[in-house]
Amino acid sequence: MNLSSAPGFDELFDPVFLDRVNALTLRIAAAQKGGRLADQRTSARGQGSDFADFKPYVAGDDLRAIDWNIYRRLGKAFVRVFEERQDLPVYILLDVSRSMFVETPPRIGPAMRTVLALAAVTLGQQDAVSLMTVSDDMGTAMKNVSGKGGITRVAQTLADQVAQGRSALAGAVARLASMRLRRGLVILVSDFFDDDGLEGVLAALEMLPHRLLLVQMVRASDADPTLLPDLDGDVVIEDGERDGAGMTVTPELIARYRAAYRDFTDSLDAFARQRGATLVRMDADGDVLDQLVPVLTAGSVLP
Amino acid sequence: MSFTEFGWPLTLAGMIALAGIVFLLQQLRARTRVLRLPTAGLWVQALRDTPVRVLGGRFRYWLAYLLILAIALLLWLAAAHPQLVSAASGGGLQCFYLDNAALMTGGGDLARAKRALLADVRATPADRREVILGDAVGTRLLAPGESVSLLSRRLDMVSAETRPSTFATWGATADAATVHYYGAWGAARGAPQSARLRYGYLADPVPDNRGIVALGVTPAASGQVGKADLLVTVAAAHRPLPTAADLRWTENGRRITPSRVEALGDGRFLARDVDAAGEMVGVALAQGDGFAADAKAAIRVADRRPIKVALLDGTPPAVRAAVTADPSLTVVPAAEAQVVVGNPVAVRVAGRPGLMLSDASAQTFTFAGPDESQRGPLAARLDALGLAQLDAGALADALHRPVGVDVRDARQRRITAWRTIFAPASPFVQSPAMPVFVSRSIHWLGQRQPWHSFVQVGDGGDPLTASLDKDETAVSLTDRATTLAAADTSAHPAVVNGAGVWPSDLPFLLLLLAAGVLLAVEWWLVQRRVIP
Repeated sequence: MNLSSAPGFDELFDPVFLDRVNALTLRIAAAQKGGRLADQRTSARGQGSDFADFKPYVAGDDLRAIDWNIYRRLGKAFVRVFEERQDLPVYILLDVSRSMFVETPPRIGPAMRTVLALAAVTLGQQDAVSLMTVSDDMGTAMKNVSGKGGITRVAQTLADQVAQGRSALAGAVARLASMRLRRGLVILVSDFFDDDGLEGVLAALEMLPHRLLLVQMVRASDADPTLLPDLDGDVVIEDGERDGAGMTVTPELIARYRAAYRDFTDSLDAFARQRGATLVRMDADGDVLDQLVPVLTAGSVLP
Repeated sequence: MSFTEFGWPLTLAGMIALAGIVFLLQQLRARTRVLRLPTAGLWVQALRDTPVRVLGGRFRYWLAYLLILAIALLLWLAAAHPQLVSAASGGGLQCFYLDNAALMTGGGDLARAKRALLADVRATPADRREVILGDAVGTRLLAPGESVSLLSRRLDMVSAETRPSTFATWGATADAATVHYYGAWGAARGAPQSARLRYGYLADPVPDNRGIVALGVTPAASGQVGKADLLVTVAAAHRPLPTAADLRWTENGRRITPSRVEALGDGRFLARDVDAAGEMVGVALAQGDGFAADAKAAIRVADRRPIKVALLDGTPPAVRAAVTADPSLTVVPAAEAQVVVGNPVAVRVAGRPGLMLSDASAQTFTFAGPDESQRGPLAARLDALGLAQLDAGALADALHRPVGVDVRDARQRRITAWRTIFAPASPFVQSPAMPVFVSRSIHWLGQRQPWHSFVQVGDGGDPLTASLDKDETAVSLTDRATTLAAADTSAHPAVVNGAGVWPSDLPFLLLLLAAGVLLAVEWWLVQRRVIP
């Protein structure tokens, strides 16, 4: 089967696109402490500009932190403690299974632009980005890249991706959950059509100790298959990952499909609500940033 | 292998056409489209959830059902092969008789009769028709149930023959419900006329027909060896009989003039002392007419010239005397001889058919020749061999030995006879049988042609006579009845044929056509997705 190719480096590394990304930020309520100093709010106390609390002075504390007004009123020395901002580890999982490449144009293009945009935002705020690919198995393409200069590396890594095998999201996510990683944000960019079904994927996602940002790559014809001009009569539908399924398209079959798709999306929505995750439905035929901006410009998009 | 419905050419053409149609349909076939969608898994799930079609379910596609039902019913009816039944043909077996006798030799008559026959046969249901050819045995050209396409090919092989019609004889025994005749009224009027006899085609008569109705040959009455007399009989229907001046004589195609032709009256002429040299002698009427089959006749006159005999060493005086006295035999030197006579050594040296005289042979008379032992019982050939008048008993008493005859196969004809029976004191030499034996045996050795004195086709209702021994005799019509029938202008019944009637297969063809049209409509509707 002929599969479409992923966008090349020049296509991805578009300065206009990256300029538009600069206006976006990615915040979570509180990153896990233990990271290096950065912009994300944490529970760590130390250096910073955001006042957090007072504590009795003990030997060794920085004398510059003593609040002399309190000492004058109470006669006891208290020092001011500040909230220490650290970096946010962001783990981006990109689905590169064959189903992402099967259409013309393929969904992998907007999916990669989404990843690039999120990586650029992350790197722009001094957070660390790890990029992993998901197909038959999970592969680590890039680990703990930080700094704005890393965006070039991210773009190159994305451009090097090719279609690989079948979707095994559940296994890949379960493997990620088993890794002892610093808690951060997991961004999963995929069509979520997994061989084991959505239930397996959601069960694996439930095991993740990280915050979740789910980006579902969709098209309008997914929900309304009548938009497909060739969907009529006897057809063979294939996703590049399994043998084509032959069927005769009837109104009854279309109704059944719509019900199945509705169940699929409802399950994903319910999981996101229940898990406190952010779910973004990215229309593969629309502009990526136009769809990301409403989500990211509000600042802290993740609870 | 043969195809009953179609011939080879049509079958092959149909195969090629079908291959083309199937190819086109293959090109037009609704090919399964391949859609590449990531949602394939959900489609499979939807397909799995869709209940299978079961009996009793809601019926959706009435138009498709009715269309397919109509096509199936049309094909089913076509398979039943319905045929039109003409009210005029009545019930029972319809027998079509094509007369290809001499009266149909006129220009175009047989072709017109064939066309009328084909048209009528096509208009008759296959299981109620048969076609008979008016030959000697009444060959069946088309059996009930056979396709008419076979008939057209078989008719191509039918031609008119110069022999009398056998329709009257055949018609007397035919048991068909209705007989349709295609021939000449002159031949049909002799058949029993009844309501079941109908005429599909009758050839136009030749009112001024004259013809040769008999031709015979006999040894010349003058007694001359090597000569024969020819008897010719002519007849005319509505005009004066031909005279001797109207006769043209030929010998092997060359014009000859007999030395004397006598008019015997009543249309009979006798040509005397014609050379009997094994040539084909023909006679024709100087003025032709519209019926050429009886305008000429020919007969092969047997070779009756004297046989050249060489008398070699060992020839008994009695044999020499018998040969010399026989005018049908001429004594010549050995080099010119057709037959030799002498002792075995001399005959073998000569290398020609010969009469060998020797006392060494086991039997009194031994006849040898190619396939001689298979020529039938010896008793039936004693006259040809010259032994019919032999008094075997007296000869055996005189010789004190049993007299016997033997027949053997040999490459060349030879006769071996005891020399002692030709001794002067032998009772055989004294008997009249001796010169007969010598003459007949030498003629047997010379292989003279049999004498066919009279050749007439169809005399006595046996037309097969005409086909016998064609190498030896010429086949001529020479039938008075046929000659007169050709000129028969009497009123004949009306000709009724099926021209203009629809072919009996028309319903079958229309059903196939309708099925084809509905198939095309179905395809058109499927293409436009009006029906699934």
